[in-house]
Amino acid sequence: MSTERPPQRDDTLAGLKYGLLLGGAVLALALPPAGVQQAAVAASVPTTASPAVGIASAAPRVIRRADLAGQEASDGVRRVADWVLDSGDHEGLYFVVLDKRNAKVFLFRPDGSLLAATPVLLGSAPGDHTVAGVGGKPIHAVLPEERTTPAGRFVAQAGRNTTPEDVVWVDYAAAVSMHRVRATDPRERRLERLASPSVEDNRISYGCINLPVAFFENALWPVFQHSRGIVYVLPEDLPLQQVFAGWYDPGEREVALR
Amino acid sequence: MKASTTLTSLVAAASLVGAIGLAYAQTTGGTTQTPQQAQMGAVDGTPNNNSNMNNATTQTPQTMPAQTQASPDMNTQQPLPPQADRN
Repeated sequence: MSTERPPQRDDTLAGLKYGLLLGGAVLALALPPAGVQQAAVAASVPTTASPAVGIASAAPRVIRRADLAGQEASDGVRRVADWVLDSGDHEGLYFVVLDKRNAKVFLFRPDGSLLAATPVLLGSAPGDHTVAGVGGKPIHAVLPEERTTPAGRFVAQAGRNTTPEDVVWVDYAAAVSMHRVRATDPRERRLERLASPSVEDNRISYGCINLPVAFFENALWPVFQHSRGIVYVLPEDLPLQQVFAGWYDPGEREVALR
Repeated sequence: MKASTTLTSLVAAASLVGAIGLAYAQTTGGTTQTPQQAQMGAVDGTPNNNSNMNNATTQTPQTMPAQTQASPDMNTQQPLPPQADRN
């Protein structure tokens, strides 16, 4: 009995051997070592990722602050504006900070620099709340104690009232808007109140925020007629953290980071 | 070398190259983030500034304003119907 393998099988085995050797040689030449490949990938990531990410891990975090451009402002305005900018709560939009205690509005650009500021008229009733259902009442039916300008964070947008007049809706459901000062009732002396240096006489409206005509037309309306913005109405009674969830004092955080 | 041997060699070589190349590609591709993925992962580590989280959460009955919710497309305006304001 013969133990020799057939010639055809020998040829096949030889072919397989040659093929495997040839394939191994091709792979050795074509594929780079795994370590080199990983290093190349790792090196490419930081060049395309956000530079801030890399910086944040290496350097202490810097608190971003709003620029009031020398404008006189209360501590509350500064702390809220700084928080807005530092936290990015305004989502890259223009934002307004309304200081009810001092009856003054500050309009900021998205980068936190002040665009304009002005005295305003506010709701005659003290308080940071909105009385339920007041937005649906006819103006003559709104009781004196219901005439509050509510505190809070609002996404404001341009619109019209039924006059029709261009307004910026702050709280549409509660019918609170920012609009040009209205001197329709001479007994209210709204223009005089707005012009006076006193803030005690600036509480006269039914809840809306009355602005000087020039401020509305030259600063506020050009910003809001094409885009929404965020309005922060500072409380007059409540603490900031109760009105603005997530609020923190950037100044205190900066001290803590040192 | 016979023609059948050469053919067998080529088939074996191609099979080996294909199999190992595919395995290698899957290994490196499955563990490597694209630059975009890497950036998104880094952003995920930052505080969530979603405006929905910044709305007032005061529990005072009917007193705090019903705050407007920010929508993802908040920079595009849907017109609001005219209504009377509070002057």
